[in-house]
Amino acid sequence: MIQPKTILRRLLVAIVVMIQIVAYPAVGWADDGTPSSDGAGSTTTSTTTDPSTDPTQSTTTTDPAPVPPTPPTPETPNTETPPADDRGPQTPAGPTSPTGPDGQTYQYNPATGLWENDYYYWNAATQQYAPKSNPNLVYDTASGTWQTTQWRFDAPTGNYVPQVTPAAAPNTSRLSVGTLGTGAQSNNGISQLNNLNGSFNSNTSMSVTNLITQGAYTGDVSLGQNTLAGNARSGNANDTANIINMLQSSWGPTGGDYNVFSANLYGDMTGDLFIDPSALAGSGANLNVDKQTNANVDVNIANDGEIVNNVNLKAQSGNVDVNGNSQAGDAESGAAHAVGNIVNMMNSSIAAGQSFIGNINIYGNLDGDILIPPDILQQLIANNGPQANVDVSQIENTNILADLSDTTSIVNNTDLSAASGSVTSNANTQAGDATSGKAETNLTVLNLTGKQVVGKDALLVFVNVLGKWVGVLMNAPAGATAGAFGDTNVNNTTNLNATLAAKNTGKITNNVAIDAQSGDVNASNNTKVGNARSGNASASLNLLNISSSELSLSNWLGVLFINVFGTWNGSFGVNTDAGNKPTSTPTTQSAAPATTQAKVFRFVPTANNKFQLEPVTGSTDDTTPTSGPQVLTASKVIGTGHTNNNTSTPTFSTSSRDWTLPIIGLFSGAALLGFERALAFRQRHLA
Amino acid sequence: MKKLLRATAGAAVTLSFLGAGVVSAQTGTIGTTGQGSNNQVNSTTNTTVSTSNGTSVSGTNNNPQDADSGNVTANNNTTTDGAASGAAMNSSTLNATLSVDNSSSAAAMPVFDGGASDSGSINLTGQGSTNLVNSTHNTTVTTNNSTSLTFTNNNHQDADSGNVTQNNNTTAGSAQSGDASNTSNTTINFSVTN
Repeated sequence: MIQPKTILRRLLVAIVVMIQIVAYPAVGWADDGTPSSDGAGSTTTSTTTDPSTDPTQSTTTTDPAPVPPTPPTPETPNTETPPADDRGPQTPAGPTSPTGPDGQTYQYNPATGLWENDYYYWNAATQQYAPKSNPNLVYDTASGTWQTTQWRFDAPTGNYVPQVTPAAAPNTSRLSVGTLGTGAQSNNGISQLNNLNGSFNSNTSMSVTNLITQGAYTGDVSLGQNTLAGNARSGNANDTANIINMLQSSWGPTGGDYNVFSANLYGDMTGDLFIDPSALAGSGANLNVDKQTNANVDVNIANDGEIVNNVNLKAQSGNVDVNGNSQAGDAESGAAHAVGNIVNMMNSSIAAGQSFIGNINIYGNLDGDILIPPDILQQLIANNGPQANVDVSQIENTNILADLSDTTSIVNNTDLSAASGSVTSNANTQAGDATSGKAETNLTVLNLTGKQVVGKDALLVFVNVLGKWVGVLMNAPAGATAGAFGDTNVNNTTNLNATLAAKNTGKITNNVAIDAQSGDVNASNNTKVGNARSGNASASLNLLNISSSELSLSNWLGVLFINVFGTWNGSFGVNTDAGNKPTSTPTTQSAAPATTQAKVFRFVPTANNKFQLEPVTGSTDDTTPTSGPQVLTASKVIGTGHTNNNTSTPTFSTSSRDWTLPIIGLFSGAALLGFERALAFRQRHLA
Repeated sequence: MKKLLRATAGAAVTLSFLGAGVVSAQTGTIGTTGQGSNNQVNSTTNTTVSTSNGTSVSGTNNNPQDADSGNVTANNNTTTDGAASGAAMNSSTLNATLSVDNSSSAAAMPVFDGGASDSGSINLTGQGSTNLVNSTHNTTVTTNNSTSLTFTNNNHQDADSGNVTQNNNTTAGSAQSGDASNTSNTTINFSVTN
């Protein structure tokens, strides 16, 4: 509770403060001794003259005109307020010689009777200074200072510096013409005629011929008339040819050579493969194209280029013969794989800071994805746009008269054959299975013609799966096994003034014969013999032709060949569940075959670059009877399932039975029964 | 298309760089002519520059490779541990770059400057007189580049692993022939700069 005294004291203090505030102006007036007035009293006798202020904008002074300052002496430069040339009225009865800091610079001139220095007179009679010369002051609104014909104010240094009259601009005209005093009705002419006839003729003929013949053969294996013999197996035969031809083309001129890596992975693979292009050495690269306008220039260019690839690849594993043995093991011929990767470039350029050509051969089954860093992939996809051909008629602001002829013919004569060996199992008392291997051929061709790709990154991907591919190539059309990623822009060249006749004739001929054959297997006339199996055979060709195209990439370009000689359960660029370890193990799992219980789905690209899930059942997987159980493992599918954007998320169920209650019931029943029997036994003995 | 335009630009650079050696300075002056007189100063310079580059490059690569592992035979033995032939492997890498650059000859050519320092003056001419100062520069520049590049790559690879034979043995181990593989990497790059 506040006391009345306290309230009264506070109120008193507040009143005193209010009185001080209200009474303060009156006190101020009393101190000045000048009453306040508005309007009429504003024309004071102020003598303020700001040399940096334009006098035409000065409204606060009553002086008829501002007294312009005079330039300072060089020894005592002034900054923004040059000294006044009129130092004001002086008292006649003053000193007889100039005073002040510069008084020592004056000397008395008996002829004039004045004191003088280099710039001023001083009259002892009038006690006034006068400049020796008319400074012709001019106010410079740009710098806000006064200038003279001899001096100017230099803002950076804050001093007056001598005026320097700029020299007359040199005559830059190509033709100097002068006339003086021509007569009446005279005819006078000065002319200059320049005739430039330029002709540039270029004939270039280039030819590349590759004659590549490769044969890989493994030896035959024979086991005969042995009492007890082990397995008989012939080795694997592999042929790989990587060919890159570049005619009047360039690849990575600023970034140096491209990086080449090749990886051969044998056996079944589980897990994702990760490729990081950013880890490549080299710096970013840029590509600049000069533009120039010329007149009266005839350019004739004829480029004839020809690429001929005669490639013959053959891989053959040896025959296996197990004959007349009492007991022998398995008889198996090796696998035969032949792969050709060919890149032909003609009249094209690829400029990239870093480039790589990768070749991944997986000799087996792959359960996992092939991935690149997510940020790079997203950037690729985000910038992906439709590619376009350059249309000459769409070039604007060009007076080029051009006769362009660009003829490129591409002939691909490919002959791919693959055959697995025959298997014979005859007249054996006891024999295992007789199985013939798979035979696959795969041809992948990607043509880039008349494309101009300008961007940061690009990736060309070839996917070659000889078995069954359960996955998707990111951002590729439905059914595609090759795709190009990257952003695209079309650049038009402008402001050309030339006559151009260019004729480019290019011819690319690929004569490729690839043959893969696994050896025959014969297991006959044995008392007991194991399985007889011929190896798989595959012949593959990945062919990339780039003609009249330009890829300008500031960062990197990748060409990636992925050859999977088995079955691939996974995707490129999409991190699916393939290859992932199951996050949880099913509590109980029946021993029934997995493929009969699990439902497995695969990604199928649609036209709108989305995906749909398509069920894969064991009955439809007839092309890969041996790989199905390995890929479509029930534990993986059941444990994690498939996670994707598709709304029809698959669900899985198992038919395993829970034995917990029966077991508990069994134990309970047994315990009760035992207890009852114990009681009965005791009662019997007591009785 | 881009390639052609670039080539055009290169040719234009060639012609516009017609070097400093041919620049001529012509001066014509007509002064104090008589009445009704006809006075002319005609100056003509003719410059012809021709450059021809003929280049023919031919290369051949012959690379025969043969790898063979031996045959293995184990016959008429009581016991053999097994028989296996070795692996046979060939690998080759070819990087061939053929490059022709004619741009240096173009850079050495004189520069056309269109009579950079010409001057003409007509002073104090007579009444009714005709006075003409004409300057003409004729420059003809011709560049002919003929380039022929030819390369032939003969690559032959043969890998054979040996046969394996086990006959008439009481107890014989496994018999396996070795693997055979060939790998060739070929890169050929032709480049012509005019």
